[in-house]
Amino acid sequence: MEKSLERLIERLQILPGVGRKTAQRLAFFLLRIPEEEVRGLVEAILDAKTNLNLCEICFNYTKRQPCSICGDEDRDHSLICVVETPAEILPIERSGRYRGVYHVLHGVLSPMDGIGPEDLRIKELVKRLKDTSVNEVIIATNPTSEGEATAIYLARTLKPLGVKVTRLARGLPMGADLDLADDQTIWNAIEGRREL
Amino acid sequence: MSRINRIEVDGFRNLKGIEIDFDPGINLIVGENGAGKSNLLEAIYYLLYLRSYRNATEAELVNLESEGFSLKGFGDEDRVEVRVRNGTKRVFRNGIERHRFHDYYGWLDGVVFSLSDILIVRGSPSLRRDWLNSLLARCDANYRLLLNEYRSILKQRNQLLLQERYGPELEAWSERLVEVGSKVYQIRYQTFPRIKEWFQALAHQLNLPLEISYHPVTSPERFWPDLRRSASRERELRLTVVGPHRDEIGITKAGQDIRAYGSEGEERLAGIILRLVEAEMIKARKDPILLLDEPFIEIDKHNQERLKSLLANKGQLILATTTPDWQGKTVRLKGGRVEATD
Ligand SMILES: [Zn+2]
Repeated sequence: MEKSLERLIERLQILPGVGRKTAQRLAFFLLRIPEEEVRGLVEAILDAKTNLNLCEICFNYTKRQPCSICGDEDRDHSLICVVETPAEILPIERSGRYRGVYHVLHGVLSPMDGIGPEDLRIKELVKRLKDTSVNEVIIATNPTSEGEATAIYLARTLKPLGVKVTRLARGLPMGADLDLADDQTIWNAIEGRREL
Repeated sequence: MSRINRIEVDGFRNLKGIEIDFDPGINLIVGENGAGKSNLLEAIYYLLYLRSYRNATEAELVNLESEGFSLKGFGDEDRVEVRVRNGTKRVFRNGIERHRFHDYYGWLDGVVFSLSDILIVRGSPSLRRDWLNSLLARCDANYRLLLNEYRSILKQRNQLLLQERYGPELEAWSERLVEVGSKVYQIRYQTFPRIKEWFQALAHQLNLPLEISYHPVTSPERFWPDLRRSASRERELRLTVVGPHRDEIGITKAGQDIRAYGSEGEERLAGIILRLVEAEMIKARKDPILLLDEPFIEIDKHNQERLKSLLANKGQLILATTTPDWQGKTVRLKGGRVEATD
């Protein structure tokens, strides 16, 4: 096999869920499409990688500090929605009715994977609650074992700080991620939240 | 009444090109040892629960000469199909592919009677818990989900104990364990009296002084304080020692543990009673079909007759046997193929 092809296949395998077979398919696909398509893809990856950083306040990806949501004065900064990953902000924003701000944990508690509280952005959330005036924290981790345990851990950590802690309503079906839910389901889950 | 009307099997263990139409009453699958009688029952069970009752892996179920297997089942209202090829499994119900067990399960229930039922009686407590869990999962749709959730919390919590990570993180997992575990307990506490009643009634019909009892290690109300009290033992063993995963189920003969005081024949009969209880409990939702894999072979003639009359009017029955002393539709297997039907 050509060295360049071999190298491409090897590099593609750093992507999650991509094994050797898929990497080969992707490599041949990239060779088949027009050069400007490939150039566009490479530039988009590099642009995102060099220009996006974690927002210092909410830890979502952003070009500016703070991010456009944290910097928006029309939003309710006393209401924070805590999510597992940046991807989960998208569907909530798309539903267009949530006016609070966010905090991204970048994971959930999972002893089997060696993930404890110190591996998540929990210290930063506590600091945020101490430094600014926050009335309510909505915990929107997924309804998995890990997401639920993380919600409990957060409630136990945050409530002593005198903030109201709520959990999304279990309107979401078992095992369904926020990511896949439609706008109305998401809004029902936010509106029906209960205090922990 | 619910039943299976037809099955088509190919490449499952030694079964090849099988097409059988079942009678709504009694069906006899006959043939020599190795003809594929038990394999056929296993195939039917697989169509119900997508797993082998003999705990075989998918790879073990595939015929050595083929790349995979295909199973089709036809119930009164449902058509189901399973295709396993090159290690990937695809599952259909009424022509629609199903990706979660939850969306597939429920078209028909069944209870298997086999010689190894004695192990539930005689074996470790975990085998009796498995029996109870499998029974409850079929009586209550939520139970399976709760149990899966409980098991994954337990695994995570045990991992923390193994790493000696105590403190608020462990507390959070404990709270969740109690939350979900209590719901598991609620269902067990609610259902066991009915299980006990059925067991006793059936034992009575067989003239046996047998009883079944439930020994939970805690209750929904006491779970949290009991878990706290177990902290030092937990740290010593680095395991969660309180919860539904430690419950025991006992079977006694005239008040004594059957494992110490019963004969082999009594243990066998107790195993059959457990299966009959299963059938009666499931019946409250939907009639199960009964799959019998020579379970009476080691039982004396007298009790065999009693069991036969007990089973006679219990719905559809599919019986694999080398000695066909029942009346019913007969299918003769040879070398994994249907040789004759009458
Ligand atoms: Zn931000």
